[in-house]
Amino acid sequence: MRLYKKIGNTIHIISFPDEEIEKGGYLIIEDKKAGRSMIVQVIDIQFANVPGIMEELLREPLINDSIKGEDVDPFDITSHILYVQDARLLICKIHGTLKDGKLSPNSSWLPSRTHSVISKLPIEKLMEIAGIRGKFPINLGETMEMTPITIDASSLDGKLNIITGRKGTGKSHLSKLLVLGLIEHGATVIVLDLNGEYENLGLNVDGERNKFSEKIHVLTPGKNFKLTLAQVGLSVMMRILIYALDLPGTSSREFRHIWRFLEERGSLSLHELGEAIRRWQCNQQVKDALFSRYYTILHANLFTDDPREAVDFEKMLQDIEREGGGAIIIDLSGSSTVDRQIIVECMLAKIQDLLSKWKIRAVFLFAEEAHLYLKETYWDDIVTRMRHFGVFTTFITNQPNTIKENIYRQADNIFLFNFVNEHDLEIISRAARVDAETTTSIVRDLPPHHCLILGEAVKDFPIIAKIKPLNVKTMGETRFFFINREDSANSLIEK
Amino acid sequence: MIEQIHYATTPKYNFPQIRENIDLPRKFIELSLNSMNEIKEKFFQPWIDLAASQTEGIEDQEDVIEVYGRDALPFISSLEPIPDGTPIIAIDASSIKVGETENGVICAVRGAVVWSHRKRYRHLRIGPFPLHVTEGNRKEILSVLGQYSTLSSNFSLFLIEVQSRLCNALERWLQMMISSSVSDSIILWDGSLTSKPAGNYSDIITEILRRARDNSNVVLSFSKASTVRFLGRRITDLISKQRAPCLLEIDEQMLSISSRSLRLLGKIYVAKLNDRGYTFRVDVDRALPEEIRIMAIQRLLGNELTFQGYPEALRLAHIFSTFTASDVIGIQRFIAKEYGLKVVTWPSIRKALFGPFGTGGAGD
Repeated sequence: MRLYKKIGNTIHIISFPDEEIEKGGYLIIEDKKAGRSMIVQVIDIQFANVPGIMEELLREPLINDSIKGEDVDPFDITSHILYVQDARLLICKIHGTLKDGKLSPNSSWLPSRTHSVISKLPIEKLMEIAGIRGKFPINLGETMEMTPITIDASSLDGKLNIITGRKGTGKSHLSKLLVLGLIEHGATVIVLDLNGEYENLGLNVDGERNKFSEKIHVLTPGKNFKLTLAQVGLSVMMRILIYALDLPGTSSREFRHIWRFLEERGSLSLHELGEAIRRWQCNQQVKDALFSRYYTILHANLFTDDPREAVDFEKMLQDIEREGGGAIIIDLSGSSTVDRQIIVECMLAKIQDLLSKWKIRAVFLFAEEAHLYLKETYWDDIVTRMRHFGVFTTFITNQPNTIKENIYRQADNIFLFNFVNEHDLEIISRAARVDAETTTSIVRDLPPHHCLILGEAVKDFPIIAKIKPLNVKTMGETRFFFINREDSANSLIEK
Repeated sequence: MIEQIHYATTPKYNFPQIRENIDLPRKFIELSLNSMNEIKEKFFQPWIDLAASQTEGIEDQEDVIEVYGRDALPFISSLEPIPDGTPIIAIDASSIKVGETENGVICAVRGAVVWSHRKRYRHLRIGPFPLHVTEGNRKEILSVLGQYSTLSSNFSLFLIEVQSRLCNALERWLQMMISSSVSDSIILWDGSLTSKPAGNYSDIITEILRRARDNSNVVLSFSKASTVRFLGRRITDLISKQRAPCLLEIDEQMLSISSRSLRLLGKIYVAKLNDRGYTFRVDVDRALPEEIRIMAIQRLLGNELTFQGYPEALRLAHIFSTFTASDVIGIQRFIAKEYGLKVVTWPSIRKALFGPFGTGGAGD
């Protein structure tokens, strides 16, 4: 490989066919005279602009396809000619300088063109140099060079993460891997499971219970996830009414009065709440507004007056912390849009309440397709305010435009799967952790189950990882028409 | 609409006698190895100027020849193609300068033969042979090439001519081998069948033509640019408006040449073979009877594609032998790697003195 030119933070390198270089791989340009080395990443591989190649290509089809013949080439010069024709131009981005074994982001110097030696920098070595592994490793799979890739769980701690990519590329799979990795290191994880995909994390592929089975707690609203009004408390209920159900200010004030009235009487229940609204002396429009919200809450089936039915969410979280980690999977698959918003609002408000009172330490929140249950006004709150309380969110989506640009800019780690759509590529290229060129060029060509990791987790060295398979039941209950048609018919007959 | 040519592959064809008679290629290899070994581990400046340094043989070049006389030139318009399956074999060679050393130049030569039978094509490429030409190895080169080409005794002229002479030697050898090894074929050359009487060059062509005739072959030589002029006009312009196929015969009695300056070994025709094609000067072995010469052109018409009025086999032979830029870079890479040559750029006094004004407008 030979250094060709440098434009800004882009280095062009000439490479020959016998040098196996892949997009996303790292190279080290050693300038021994300068006593330092430059670390660059290959973001694109093009054909070298060999003069006269057009003439050659126009000639080649004649030789190869239709005109057979032979070459008397005693010096085997043809192989050298073909070698030149296959020369490649590597477009690389500078990622830092290595001097005396120490890494710095300095890219202001220029390595020598004549005596610099360019070689492949194995990802494993790069991870060692950059200190990517850390104390709490989560194994994600393999690098392009088939070496294991691990990230430090602490790089997700206190951070905002985004997992995005086209449908079917492996986002949820990585998300599950991170959930289990965090649990293994004793973290408390809450998953907002939109499709009921995470509920079997405690089972192996063959259906056997695995080591996580005791740590996975699936809560299905309306079934095993119900709360009493006393558990919820006024502040949480007010947030549900204001943010999820858009209750106007005057009505909110009246509701607060009703709630306090019932609390003072010691009769805070769903039934009494409905009766109190009915009897309450107030404007009819306010009454109507309160009633409509009351019935929505009632039909959400999340609240109960029976304390035996209710889940002690606070105790559950505290138990998970005490027992060395675990996950609460909130199954939102059977809930309507409004119900989802009530559930999520209730849960987030409750968590924030517990965190602010230091009843729990911190929570890792995994939110699949959050735009379906989080109001726009809430995004910034989650990203900025709730982070300080100890809610560390990972957004998972296949629609990158549903996440606002400022969220991308604030993201500490981004796990990018394949995108080919120019619009999607443009959106994800706004991530502040890496230049747009690197993102779009590499992500466009990522095969399924491969992701580009950007950010803190890889110390800002973008690395391509092949996500490993999991020996857990990861698939959601996706129903297929053609594959299961015969089985379905048989089962119907049996029934 | 651009006319498309469809090629079909010849299932079997061998060049038995060429492969057996490897005398000249063996000498080329030896010459290449010996000359290149002399500069092992030394310096060279790569050279790549396809337009300026690629030649096909300067001995084919003639001075302007005028056609005198007021008589009408014989015009033949009744050319009926004869599709009798005659094989058409085209030969071409080319050479290029690929670099300079402290005491000479490095050039490369390559030859190509394209064989067309029932409009199916095969090719044979010989080379490239890289050669280091210096004053030191001049005598050796002379002795190797002497059989097939003549060389100037002036060294500076020798360096200029050498590239062309090497190319010519390979081309003549290929012509000799083909003429000796095939029969009942039409052999196509690039250039004209003329030579300067001095030296043994015309003897070589005469010998090649004789061998071709002995094997019932006919040699046709196509010139892309002719120096023969009639009343100041190029002879190829004389029939450019006529319906193809047609021929115009040039009577050598009317040409402004003396036997001392140039020897005509072929009968000169102007041929327009295709209505949508160009006209070319075609030299046909003059030792053949006229009807055989005309029939040879008819057989060419009947058995070969003449897209743009030029035989396809000859066009392909040219393409196969010509060096492209990537060929040159490949050769430079080979010699740098094989002989450990160090690439340098020698300072140009002209550039140093005159800067951008010293490059004759070509520099940057």
